Amino acid sequence: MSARPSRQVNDRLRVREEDEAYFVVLENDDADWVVAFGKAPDFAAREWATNMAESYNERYDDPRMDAVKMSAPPPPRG
Amino acid sequence: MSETIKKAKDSVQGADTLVRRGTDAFLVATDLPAAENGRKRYRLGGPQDFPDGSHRVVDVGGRQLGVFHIKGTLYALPNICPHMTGPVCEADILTGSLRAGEETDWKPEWVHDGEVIVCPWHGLEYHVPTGQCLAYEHIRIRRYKVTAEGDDVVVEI
Repeated sequence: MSARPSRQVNDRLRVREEDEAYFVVLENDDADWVVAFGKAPDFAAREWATNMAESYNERYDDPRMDAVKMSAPPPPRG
Repeated sequence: MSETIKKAKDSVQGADTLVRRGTDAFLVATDLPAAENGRKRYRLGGPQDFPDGSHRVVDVGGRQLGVFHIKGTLYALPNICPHMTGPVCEADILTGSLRAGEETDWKPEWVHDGEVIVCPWHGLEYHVPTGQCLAYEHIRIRRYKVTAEGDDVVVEI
């Protein structure tokens, strides 16, 4: 069993663009991706990817560690 | 009640798909020598830790992966939702989903039974075997390679 606090992803995130998709990757390892947002005319892939990275980084950088531990409360619905 | 709707209701009877699992039950993976392709390898646990039909979160080198054993196959996904980065793999149960489209004459059909995880934060559904988001066809979560090697369940990152 784990007693140590772990993070959902143990690094800040950033967005890497390729021909077919935007990849959300670990900031210190371009090849280590977690989500792909495929490019399509009717889908704002870049905005989705950017929002994901910024949302996570905001919690990751929060000095209150609870913000990234699993005990963190969810943001409001909607 | 149609058979399709009955299946949907039965799949979640007595459970709330949005309830999160406890945070005190995470396994901790142990490091293994890197693979020939240079990828990091970790021992997640033994086969007894992942019985068929189970899913749990494992701390793998400081990050969290959801490990799923569905119909004889092991899967591992990052524990982060593409929407608002919620702990997607902490949902209480695996369920299925309703789909309706031209191919079904717009009648709902029950699909992916026992293969869908629902993010506990805002309810987005993901098909575990493919990592596919069911609401947005262009969103896909990464899947990590998981294998059972004797007494070891091993993941490559």
